[in-house]
Amino acid sequence: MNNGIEFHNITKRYGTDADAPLAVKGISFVIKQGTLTTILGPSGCGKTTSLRMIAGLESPTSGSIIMGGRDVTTLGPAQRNVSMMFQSYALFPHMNVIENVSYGLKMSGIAKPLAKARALEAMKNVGLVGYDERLPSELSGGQQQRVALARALVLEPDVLLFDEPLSNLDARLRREMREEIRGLQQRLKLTVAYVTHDQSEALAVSDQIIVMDHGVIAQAGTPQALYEYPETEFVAGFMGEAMLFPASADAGGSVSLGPLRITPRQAMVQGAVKVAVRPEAWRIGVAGTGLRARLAKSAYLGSVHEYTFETELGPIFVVSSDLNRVLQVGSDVGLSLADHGVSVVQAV
Amino acid sequence: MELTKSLMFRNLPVGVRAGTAAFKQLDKSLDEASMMLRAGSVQTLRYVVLPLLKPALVAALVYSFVRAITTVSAVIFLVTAENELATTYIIGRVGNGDYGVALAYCTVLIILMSIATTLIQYFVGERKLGRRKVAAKAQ
Repeated sequence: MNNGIEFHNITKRYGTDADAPLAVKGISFVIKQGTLTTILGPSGCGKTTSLRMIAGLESPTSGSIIMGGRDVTTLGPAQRNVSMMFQSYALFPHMNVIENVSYGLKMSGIAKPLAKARALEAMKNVGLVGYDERLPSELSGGQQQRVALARALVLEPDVLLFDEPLSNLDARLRREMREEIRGLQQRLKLTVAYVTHDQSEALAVSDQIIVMDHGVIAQAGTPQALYEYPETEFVAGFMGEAMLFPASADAGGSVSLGPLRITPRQAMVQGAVKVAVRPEAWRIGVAGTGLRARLAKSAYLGSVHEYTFETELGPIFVVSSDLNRVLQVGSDVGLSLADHGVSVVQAV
Repeated sequence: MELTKSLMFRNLPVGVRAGTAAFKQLDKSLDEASMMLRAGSVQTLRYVVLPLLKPALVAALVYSFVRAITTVSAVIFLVTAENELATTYIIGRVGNGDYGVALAYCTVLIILMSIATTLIQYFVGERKLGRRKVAAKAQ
């Protein structure tokens, strides 16, 4: 018996007009108890709407939501035992840190001294000791986020929701907080639903990733399954920023992309296919081998070089970590494919 | 002083405008966060919204009061001078028992206000309607 979150054929339409566009179109998924599931997708795909429906801030137009075995479709956030961390943190600016964290307990009717004690405990859990009397405006971004996290955790919820929590942080802090959130989730065995548009973040923290596209689920599975075996063009292109090329599969199932030959990991039916190649999957060789290419643009990023080559297939974006060989713009090379980072999907 | 109090509350809608602007500047997530933290609507109002609106409420009341004070002087001047305010004239007629005259003046007032409102909607509202029609044709 799954005690996590289940969506059954959920549809959400904003507005009462029957012609209004659907934000979410009949999606169903399961989030197992004690796991971290990321809902991933570009802007406007319906991921925040889905998260808000789990929270109870929006109610679905049709379908049902089951949490912990009971139907919560019509219940509000307070009855569902769900806590949420907002993208903007939503800390109350007129209350200091300890008042912010104990707000939820105060509203649940817990006595002030006990609420304060539990709030201090939660602050210790997120590693922010000694900031009790400060106002949110007197804290840095990372500290504000920890306060928001403590505020959500102190209620000991069944389900914890994150709405793009790391988008306001700088790169190094992002990695730190990402690892802390994941560590916390695993330590406390929380059921977590996490929304982001950053696919590398999703790959790093999740037990399961649900990729959404225009209100429907494109693919759901483990990070490895989504990255290595994408099932649609959209997922292939979205994960790892791959470039898609039209190609054809012959009767034997092998695919030809220009002069290159690929043996796809999944069996392909003869006909049109799309080959998704990630920027790091190209090998740069001497001119005359593989696919002919001329260097059009080059960018130095410290640890890698970003090249754009002109080829018969169009412009190709390549990331090369080979720092010994720096290519000059206009030089000719031959491109070939590595054995990982290439996916083939059937063209629709 | 009675006049001041009445005018102050009559001018409150104007002050409330300033208050609404301040209200809209509140982070939209704040009341949602409060809901997620198990607070009901009344509790959210009491602990989150009203404390944050205090500066806006003060501004609204002060603004109304200042406007009222400046208008009081105009009313006193106008009522005791050659011209009479239509509203005070009507009340005067009703006090004397001339309901017919009072009704006639009221009707004229209503017609004048309707014309003014229609004109404003025509000139200001018309443009919005115009754009919508174009959008509908484009579809």
